[in-house]
Amino acid sequence: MEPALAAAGALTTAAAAAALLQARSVRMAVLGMGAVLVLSPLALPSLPPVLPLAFWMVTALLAAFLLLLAVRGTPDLLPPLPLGGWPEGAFVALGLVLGWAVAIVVGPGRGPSSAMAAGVAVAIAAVPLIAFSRDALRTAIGAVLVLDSAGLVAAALAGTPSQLEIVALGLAVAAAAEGSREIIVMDTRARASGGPAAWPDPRTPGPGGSDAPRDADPEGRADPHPDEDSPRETGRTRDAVPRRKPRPRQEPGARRDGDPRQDPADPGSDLAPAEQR
Amino acid sequence: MSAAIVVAIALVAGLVAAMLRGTAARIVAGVALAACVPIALLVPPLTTVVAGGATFALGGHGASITADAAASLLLVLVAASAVRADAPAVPASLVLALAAVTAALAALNGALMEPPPATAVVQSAGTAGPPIGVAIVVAAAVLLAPAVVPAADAGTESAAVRTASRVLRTAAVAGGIAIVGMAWLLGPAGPVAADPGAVAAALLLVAGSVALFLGAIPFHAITARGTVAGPTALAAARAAWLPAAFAMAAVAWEQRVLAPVMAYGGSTGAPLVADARDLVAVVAFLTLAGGAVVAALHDDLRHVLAYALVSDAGLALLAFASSDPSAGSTASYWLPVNAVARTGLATWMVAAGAAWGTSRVDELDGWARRAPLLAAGLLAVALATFGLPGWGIFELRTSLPQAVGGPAGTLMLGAAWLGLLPFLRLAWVGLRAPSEVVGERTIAWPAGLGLAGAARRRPGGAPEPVTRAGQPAGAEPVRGRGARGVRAGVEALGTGRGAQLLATNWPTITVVVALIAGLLAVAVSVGSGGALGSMD
Repeated sequence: MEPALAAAGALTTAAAAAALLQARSVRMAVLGMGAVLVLSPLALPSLPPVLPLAFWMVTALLAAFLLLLAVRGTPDLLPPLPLGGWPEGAFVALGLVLGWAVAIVVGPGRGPSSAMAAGVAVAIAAVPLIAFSRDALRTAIGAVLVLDSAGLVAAALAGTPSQLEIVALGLAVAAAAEGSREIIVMDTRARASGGPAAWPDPRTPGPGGSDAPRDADPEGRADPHPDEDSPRETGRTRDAVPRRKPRPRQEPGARRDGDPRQDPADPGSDLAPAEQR
Repeated sequence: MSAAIVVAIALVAGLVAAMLRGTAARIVAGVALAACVPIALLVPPLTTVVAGGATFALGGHGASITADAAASLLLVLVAASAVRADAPAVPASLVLALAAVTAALAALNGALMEPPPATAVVQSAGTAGPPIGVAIVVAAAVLLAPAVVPAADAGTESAAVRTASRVLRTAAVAGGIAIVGMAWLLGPAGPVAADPGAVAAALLLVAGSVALFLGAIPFHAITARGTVAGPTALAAARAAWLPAAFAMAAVAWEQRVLAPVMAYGGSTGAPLVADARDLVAVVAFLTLAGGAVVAALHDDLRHVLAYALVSDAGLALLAFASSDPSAGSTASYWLPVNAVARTGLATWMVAAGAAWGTSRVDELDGWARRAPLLAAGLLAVALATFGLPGWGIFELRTSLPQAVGGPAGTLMLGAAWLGLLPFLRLAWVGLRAPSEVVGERTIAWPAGLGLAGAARRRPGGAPEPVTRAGQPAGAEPVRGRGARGVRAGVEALGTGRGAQLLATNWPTITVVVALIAGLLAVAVSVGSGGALGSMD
């Protein structure tokens, strides 16, 4: 492929990354992610062989499909990014230029500069999604973009990746999408069950909504452990949960009513923390 | 062939014992597993293996990793059974765990008789292997991230969901950094002549990714939360084996790419590279000491395990803090052995939790008095983790910190042995007067063997079928065997029940993950095995 075409590929990839940052629609954001993944190989000066390229395309589409499955039936609205979207898009454009500059600094004898430009641009697009976004979907997209950008930058440094590398990276991208899909589905269920959601609902103003502090609860109380999870996870049960008297030892095989640990079907309580009893 | 025979015997014995009940199971397991030790000591280590018409020289490393993976599988199965079975069955399960750890110890010590490969490994080809390994480990890690949410909490516990998201994000970022760092010193034609600045940058990138993935300080919080959440046996596989595989890939990069570049570029003693190594050493020391101390002070067993794993991250980082080429080789031997030992610790914790129904250390006063076999199990796990002078694991744990050299090496050595503190505290607690929770009940041996949820015995009654584990009461079943299981999995992909599938089938998933991790570790070691063979 001509360097000019590779440069055009880098431009379109960065444009797709910038566009997905503007998206307020859930589906548009997922489609933007799919576009970034599909367009990424175009930034390479020589396309990989057909088979690994096809594998990459399939994993890219699969990743987008899995995330679309996850958001099925959810409101089609994303909260705004911290800077509003357009500044982040501008940073992506700057990243494109920065990538070309880095390629010059790294020097000749390395991989294509267009891949470096696209990789840096996609990495910069992933930063606000990974670090500052307040919803599961954007975090998921950010994770996928991080892997994609790593592949692009690695190609820019070490040349077009081997077939096995493309396959392995494609697997990682699809796996990240599947793992994210599970998390999004669980978050959606948490919202549907009326419990506190993992992330504030962008459509609900006030506490718990997009205007609320990250860990505020629905009643507006400040989170006593803003950097911690549930008492069960923190192990601070002695402070967080009143101590209860130890239960008398039961006969083997007897089941305590209401005790999840005693249910042999409950796999999530194998150490029987005190607060579960 | 020692390791292979030990693995085969240990696995067969474990599986047979899991299917049998009562005295027969104990006899089979005891005799078969006891046979492992002399076999491991008498038969020379495996040196070559023929696969697909090609002969691979393993130098004992690949075989020992296989033994590690197999022993871990057995331990995870035992842990799973300990959860499912009634408390009286726990000591019998512990016998298996004890035997498996002992067998693994014997196999590994037999396999580690040969000298470390040192610089011979560096000559081996294959610079594409490490990033491929990293990508596969990251794929497994992100796929398993939702499984940190217990089934009971799926869809209702927001904090657990948020933890899963953080675990996934961390794995992806660490993988991305590692892939870039590993490519930093490579060109289209292989390793490039790089200046010290580039070498230092690549070193910091890869070491940083290892620190992030393994949960070294200051990245320990997310990793510890991910370890604490969810079933402990799954945590052992996810938080011990996946980081071990990740670190092994990084160490392979250091040996195959970084060391040759530094040797040919003359940047071995460059101040910039030395500064980068010093920075890594500081992080390693803080992680080693901090993780061990927090593990010793924490009152929750799962946190003890989590911070013990954090402490291990410090030891793994020492491979990058030392300019000694043998440090990488030592780490690549130590990582899988340690993963087995930590799986053993998780198994012990599951058993202790199942025996007294608490995970609080301060409620377990006198546990050793009431369950001497449980005490023997903890002793075996401690031996597997630290060994005794002359044992392979002891030498590895000693030589890795000392590879840093100078007073810093001595300091590192002291920090590395702080890892004994959690074991000492558990032992001290166990020898005190029994608490109200532990009570007067003695966990006797032998007792019923209720492995794998096959059956459990009611007091004085007939065996009672146990509900298939992994399915919460009232939950729609998503588990099946064979094609049914596959179909359930495929359906789950489309219906959003995949998380439930993951969380409710954690023993199976754990087995698969341990197997994948073991295979990956073997694959990584085969590349260096050729060099080992040529050196030998």
